[in-house]
Amino acid sequence: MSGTGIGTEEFVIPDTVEDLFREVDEVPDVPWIVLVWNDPINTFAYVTFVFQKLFGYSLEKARTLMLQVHNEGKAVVAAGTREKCEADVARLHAYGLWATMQKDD
Amino acid sequence: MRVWRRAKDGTLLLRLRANEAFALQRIATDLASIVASPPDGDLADRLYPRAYLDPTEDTAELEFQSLVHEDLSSTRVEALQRIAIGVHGAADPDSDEPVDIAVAAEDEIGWVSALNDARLVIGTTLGVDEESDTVYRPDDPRYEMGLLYQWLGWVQDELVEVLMENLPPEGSAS
Repeated sequence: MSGTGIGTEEFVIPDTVEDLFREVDEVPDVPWIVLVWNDPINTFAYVTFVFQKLFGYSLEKARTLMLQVHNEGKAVVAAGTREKCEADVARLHAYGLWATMQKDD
Repeated sequence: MRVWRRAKDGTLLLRLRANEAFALQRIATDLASIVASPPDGDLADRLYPRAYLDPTEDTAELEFQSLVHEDLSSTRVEALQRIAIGVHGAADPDSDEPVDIAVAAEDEIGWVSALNDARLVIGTTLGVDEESDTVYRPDDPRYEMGLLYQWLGWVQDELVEVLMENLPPEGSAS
């Protein structure tokens, strides 16, 4: 299973029936989550702004997430497929936020 | 003195003293190469973090970085260059006269993220943490950099305030 590319899906024709089944078994139904981690440089206002701008969150929701990052060290700010989360992480990095992604398990 | 405001026609305006514009031009110019390729260590980790912390995802991590790193690096350099070009005409090291600088609509996000990049570089270099306030004694070698860091934070937060007034309604991400 490829699918680590941002917004790209590769379809590979399996060589054998066993391959086909293995492919099906490996299709992860596990959603992914995007985390933003606390850092001492980005300001409260800036982080709140970025959450609103990138995810369309209300001021209230963006501010709650920002405070969670600050007080608890991290917060889940988005979730979805691997591809969507990679795109979100890339956009957060472009704004200078410290973002990572992982399986939600 | 307010640093940022919107003109009636929606144009974003920056008001600085001419010597501040000069300082900003120099910072934006000086930081471009370090932002493009920071030395390995804290700064590189901060500017270009891993997407995956899980070491078993190293293949995905490599693929992610190969897709985004170069674009991110050139976007950052270009945003700093746009700032340097934007303030160039108003910059004068020997004048403290106020000058108005218009920022094109397509440069607004570049400005706010480049100011943040500048703070990431300076703050990481100063070793800023949750406890430090970057106020140093005048005889401390970090004194001037600390002042610059605070000034950039002030300019950036005022810009954020103005940009927040123009955010699209809730639910429409960009």
